Amino acid sequence: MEEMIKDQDTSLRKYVLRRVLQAIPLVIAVIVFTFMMIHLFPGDIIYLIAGEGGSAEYYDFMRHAYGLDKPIYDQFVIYLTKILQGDLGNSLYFNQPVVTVVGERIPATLLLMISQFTIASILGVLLGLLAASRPGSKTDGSVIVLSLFWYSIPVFWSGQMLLYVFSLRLGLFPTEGMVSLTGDVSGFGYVLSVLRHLALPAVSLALHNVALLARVTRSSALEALREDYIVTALAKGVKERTIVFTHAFRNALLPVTTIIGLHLGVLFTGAVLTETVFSWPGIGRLTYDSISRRDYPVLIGIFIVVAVSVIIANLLTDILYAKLDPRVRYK
Amino acid sequence: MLQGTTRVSRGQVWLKYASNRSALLGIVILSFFIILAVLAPIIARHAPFRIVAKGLQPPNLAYPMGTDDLGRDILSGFLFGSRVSISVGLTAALFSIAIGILVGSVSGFLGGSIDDLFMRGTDFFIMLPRFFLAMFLATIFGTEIYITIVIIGVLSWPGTARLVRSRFLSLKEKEFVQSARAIGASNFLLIFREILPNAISPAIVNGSLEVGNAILLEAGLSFLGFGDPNNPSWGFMLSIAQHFLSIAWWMAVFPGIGIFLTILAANLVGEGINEMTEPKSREWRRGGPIGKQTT
Repeated sequence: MEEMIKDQDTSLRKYVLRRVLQAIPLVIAVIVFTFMMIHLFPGDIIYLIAGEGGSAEYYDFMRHAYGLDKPIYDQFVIYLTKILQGDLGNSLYFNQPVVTVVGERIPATLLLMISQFTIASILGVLLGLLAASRPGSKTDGSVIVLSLFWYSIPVFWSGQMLLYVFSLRLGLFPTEGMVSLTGDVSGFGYVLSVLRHLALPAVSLALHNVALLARVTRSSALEALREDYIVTALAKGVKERTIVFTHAFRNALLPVTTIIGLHLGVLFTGAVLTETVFSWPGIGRLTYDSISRRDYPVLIGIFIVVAVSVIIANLLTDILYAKLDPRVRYK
Repeated sequence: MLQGTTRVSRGQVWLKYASNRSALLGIVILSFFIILAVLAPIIARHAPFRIVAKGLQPPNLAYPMGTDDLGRDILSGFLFGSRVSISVGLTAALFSIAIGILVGSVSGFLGGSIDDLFMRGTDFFIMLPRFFLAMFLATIFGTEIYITIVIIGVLSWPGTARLVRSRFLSLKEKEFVQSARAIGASNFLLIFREILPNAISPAIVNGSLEVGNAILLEAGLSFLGFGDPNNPSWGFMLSIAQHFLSIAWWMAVFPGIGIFLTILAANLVGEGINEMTEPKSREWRRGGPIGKQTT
């Protein structure tokens, strides 16, 4: 028995090690890719680093400072080391390091992503299970249809519509930002204010993901419910509700976990678009502003940050999955 | 409530019927928009994106979708904007199906290091968030409409390639392939005559879904400011509408409905084909059409 438990631990550890070792070349690949694309820029690369409208002397100075007069291989090594040390360049607009600018705004985006994700997961899984427990019925049909509908609505448009109806027209929610400028700055009033600002963007994002999760949960729950042990449990007299909400739930959880992890990229995308609609002060809003300000270093920096985050999220999801389903560790 | 076998059959029969109908609905909607896009220069009453009247008029008889902040007819903009959105969507689907099938079949059939190489490449692009990739590439290469189409096309095929490759891997060792090989069929014939016809359905399903994804991607890019100002699309119209939301709801509602309906249609067609060609029990392992292929 102890042997078995020890085996489980070792296999998990080996798997984690393997996955981490696989993730490292991926991160390097992202940096290589970014470097390659930058150097495919149809104009002078210095504009991507130092902005437009500078004097010739300024550009020469920057060229030398960033090592652009060196051979390409040296440039890549410089680039790689800089990024691994956390130097993503300087924002043209803020005159601050890109990591600072981005880092300041990550918490706001995280808040938005976590809240919409919580809502979406709970609602989505519940709806999926509900549909799976009554296949072919009106409930099932409505869940399928509604999911398809909500999944097809562009998240920025639903944001605009929600903003228009509930904020601009009905005045129930504030129209922009994360906090009101004229309210409490701490304590309960602050929290309440943030929640009021959070409501609409979180809901518009969540709707899309509820649809997705409901569909996936329904599929995998249906699959799980077809197994023989379900019939046995029924025969043994276990209540139907228990079966659905324990057996099916647990089995449905595995692909749901995968989807959740793999969709971090999509979550980020949604955040970018929604933050723009609601002027939510996160990375998304930063992206939008940087586009209009042509703050290239920030844009490139955000790409790298998001790409690496996705790699890390995939890694964590795989590890979580391996913890839940030991069969995976031997792949 | 929990199914015995008969209940499952009834539910599944209903599902097949409904998905046939919904796929049909999707095709109808898509055709409608394609026709609108093609006929735009003829049916539009005014030049699109040209100032023709007083600005910020709500929908009325002369301007059924109202006018925007500068006084441009939104209906004409809608019609011409559809051309951009739909051409992007269809091109992406084409790329996805054509290149995806090519790469997937060759890679899956040949196996070995070629397969490894290709799959490393496709996995890299599948893993990275497509929207951010597109934004990055648009930052570097520009926002002209042709560049956007190429970017979105390039980002659309890896998913299909993966699916086709999976099919090839499982079909490659089957008897009908072995027998064809035994009578001396060349690799080329084996790939394209024997295996491909059986491997093509996931490509078609994915291609249809890629239409929706591409339209959404283009709309999102335009919304943020990566659109081509010389070829405004629905997303571009929405980005302008954002600033006037409180006083001109029609600027946001109509282009949004356009995007929504086309994406919905593409998804309906994709899901419908999926229901018709795949047995229901396999759905979850692929994560359904919405999920990603992981094998």
